[in-house]
Amino acid sequence: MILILCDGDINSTSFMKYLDERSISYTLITPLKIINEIAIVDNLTSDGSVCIWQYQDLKINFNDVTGLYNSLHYIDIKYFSDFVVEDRAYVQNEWWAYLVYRINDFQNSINPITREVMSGVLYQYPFVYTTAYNNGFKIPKYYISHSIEEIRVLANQLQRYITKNTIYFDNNFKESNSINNDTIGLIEYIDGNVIFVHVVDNKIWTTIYRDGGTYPYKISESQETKCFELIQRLKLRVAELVFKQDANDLVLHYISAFPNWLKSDASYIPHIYKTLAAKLINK
Amino acid sequence: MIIIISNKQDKNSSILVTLLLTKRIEFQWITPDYVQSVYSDYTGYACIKLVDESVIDNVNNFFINRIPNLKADHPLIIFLYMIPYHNILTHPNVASILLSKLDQLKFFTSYPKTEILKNVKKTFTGNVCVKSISQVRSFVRQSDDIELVRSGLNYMPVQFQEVKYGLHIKSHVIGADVYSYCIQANTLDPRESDYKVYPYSTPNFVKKSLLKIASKICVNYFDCDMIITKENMFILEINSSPAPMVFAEESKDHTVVTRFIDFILKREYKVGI
Repeated sequence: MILILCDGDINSTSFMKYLDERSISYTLITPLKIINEIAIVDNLTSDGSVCIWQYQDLKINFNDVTGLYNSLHYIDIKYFSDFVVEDRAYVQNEWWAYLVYRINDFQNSINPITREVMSGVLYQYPFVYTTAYNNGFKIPKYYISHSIEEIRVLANQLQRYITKNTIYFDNNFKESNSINNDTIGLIEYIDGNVIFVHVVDNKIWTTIYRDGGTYPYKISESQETKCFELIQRLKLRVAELVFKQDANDLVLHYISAFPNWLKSDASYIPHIYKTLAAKLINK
Repeated sequence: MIIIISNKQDKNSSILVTLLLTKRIEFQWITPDYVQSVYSDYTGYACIKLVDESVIDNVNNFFINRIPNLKADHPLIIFLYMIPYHNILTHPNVASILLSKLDQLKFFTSYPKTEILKNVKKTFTGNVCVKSISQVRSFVRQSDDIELVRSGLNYMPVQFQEVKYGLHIKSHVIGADVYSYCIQANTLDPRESDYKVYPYSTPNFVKKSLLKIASKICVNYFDCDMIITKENMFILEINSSPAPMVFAEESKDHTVVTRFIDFILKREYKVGI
């Protein structure tokens, strides 16, 4: 049995459509279902765990689950609005601490909740750029400062930049032309085509965005090796890496542990889903 | 220089400060509200500017971080993330490894039987306690605290753990050394009553076990709560932000203090993540 944990995101929905079309069975669990409907009996001893989730007539014994596709990276606090305000974060943390254990205890989770996902650093560009740089990737220059005067000076130095109000990625890589009082981060804007790299364990698909369209693309073998090494270092099984292609090299812009498969060239998507399904069917 | 980052109420830090003053070791103690701004760039360099305009960088100092929860966008937390792992006790990323008390059980060879229940009625035989799963609002209670169990069981997972009877030991792993204390309390969670702390000579099998955990979590500084019975040891949980100064003071045994200072000054802290 394949188990899919997701909150209705477009990627999981698209993957489930692929599974439906091929009559590959799976069970979908959403946060709402876990919180409101599912009964849990999860036993842990030093010899291993036995876990049963039950809702309505369906009994999910984790020993019968072959693969777990997880696109939850936290549980939104909106699900706990019935609790008094001061208890909401506590209940949210109890749930998340349980799910982190449950997802990670299962051997075939794609992706497990890694420590970088748990701490949130994987969503922060200083961490991602430092890690990527240490892995041999070229990265954009970036600055963080809480002094607006300093930010203005640095923006002048960079000339072309993307502004950020936090240290988190927000999927916005458009060039900015002004600084406002909330700006605390500047990322060097690099001209060039955008390249999406999607990785599933030891397989890689590269897509280039050019002239308003997407095309299959091939990066060098050494770049591919570096991508695999970076993903392994982060202990991820699936990932998305976004590059800008400048005159001489690839500049890494973004890493996600929750890939948007639909950013891949359309010809790749069935191959990606086939690979994912095969990994989830075989324990 | 040693930089202590904590709230003013943190007892471990205030004891450490007194000690460093006595030993004339240079240090600075800063609290989150002393931090005015942070600067960081792509070279890996980061610094904080304090309200007195002085600057502290992330490379040439050693940090002792005792801030448990800080808002993610506070300038200080941004800076803490920019400190290399081996330059800071305890990096927020290291703390996150132990976020879930259930997830950390995989690092132990022996722990009490544990069960998570939600939306299920069950009568336990034997003595069982209720424990929080996360480190937020950490608690341990007798499971006959029916109101507590009822209030949670329908809409959140509740952790039940077999109560083991024996000596409650807290051990501090500092490098390759282990310092242990016996805790005597009238409640399952010593924090909920007056408790007494005595130095406890660490048995070899305990030391061996803890050093094995250290190599699994790739960190050589943490503390561990356990129950030692006549036949066995059961690990309850580990914590990445110990308070050895507090235990040294309460037990009136200061051997751990000397080791801790040495550990910092010789930069023996290792993080392999």
